[in-house]
Amino acid sequence: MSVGSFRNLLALPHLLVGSKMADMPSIYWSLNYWPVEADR
Amino acid sequence: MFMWPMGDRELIIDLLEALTSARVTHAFTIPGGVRNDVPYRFKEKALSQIGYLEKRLEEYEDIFYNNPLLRQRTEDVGILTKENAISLGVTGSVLRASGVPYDIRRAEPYDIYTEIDFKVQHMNKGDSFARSYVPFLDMQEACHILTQLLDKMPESGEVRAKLQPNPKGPAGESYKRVESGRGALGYYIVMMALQNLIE
Repeated sequence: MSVGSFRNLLALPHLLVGSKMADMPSIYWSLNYWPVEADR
Repeated sequence: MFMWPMGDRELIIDLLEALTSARVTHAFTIPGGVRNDVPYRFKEKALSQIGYLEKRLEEYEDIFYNNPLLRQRTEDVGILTKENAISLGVTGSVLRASGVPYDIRRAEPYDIYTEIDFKVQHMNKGDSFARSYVPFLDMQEACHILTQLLDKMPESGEVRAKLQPNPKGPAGESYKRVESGRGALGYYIVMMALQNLIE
């Protein structure tokens, strides 16, 4: 099974490199990550 | 602002409750079709709720997405380029926010999507704002799609085909995917010879 939440979370390390700490929440939430779906 | 969508969510839940008798976990789509027919005057009620939600989405756009504070904190932040989005294998609105107009409903049409007129909503910048705005555009497009689907819904007919329990078939494997709320949702199925479906 392949779900969007899990696949999109893989972009997080790439997006956080070089970003400000204050920008972390908006980057994380913009990925529309849903743990329940990723866990499937 | 965040409590207003919770109120509007009730309208959708009311429709689902009328349809499936459950508010959240529906178990309505089953092998062979759906569990029951739609209730009396469901189509009219659904069209009315969709019309209301379309107006509310316009208000949300003004209040939330045109908010200078939100824009300041999300524009030009966390940029994911088109090339990186493709190489990292992201999907759904995250991919479309990076300028890739890819939607499985258009690329590999399934069910009735060949007969539905819809746009693949996308943006080019790939920043946090684009990734939060594309789902909003998807919601607007979903209202447009739902209106078409309700218009195409037959007035009468069977809603469920009777299937044998424990489906069996020839040995083989299959991978099928659909476009879900967060992108590609895929299932890989393996059938062993003369045995039940294993996964």
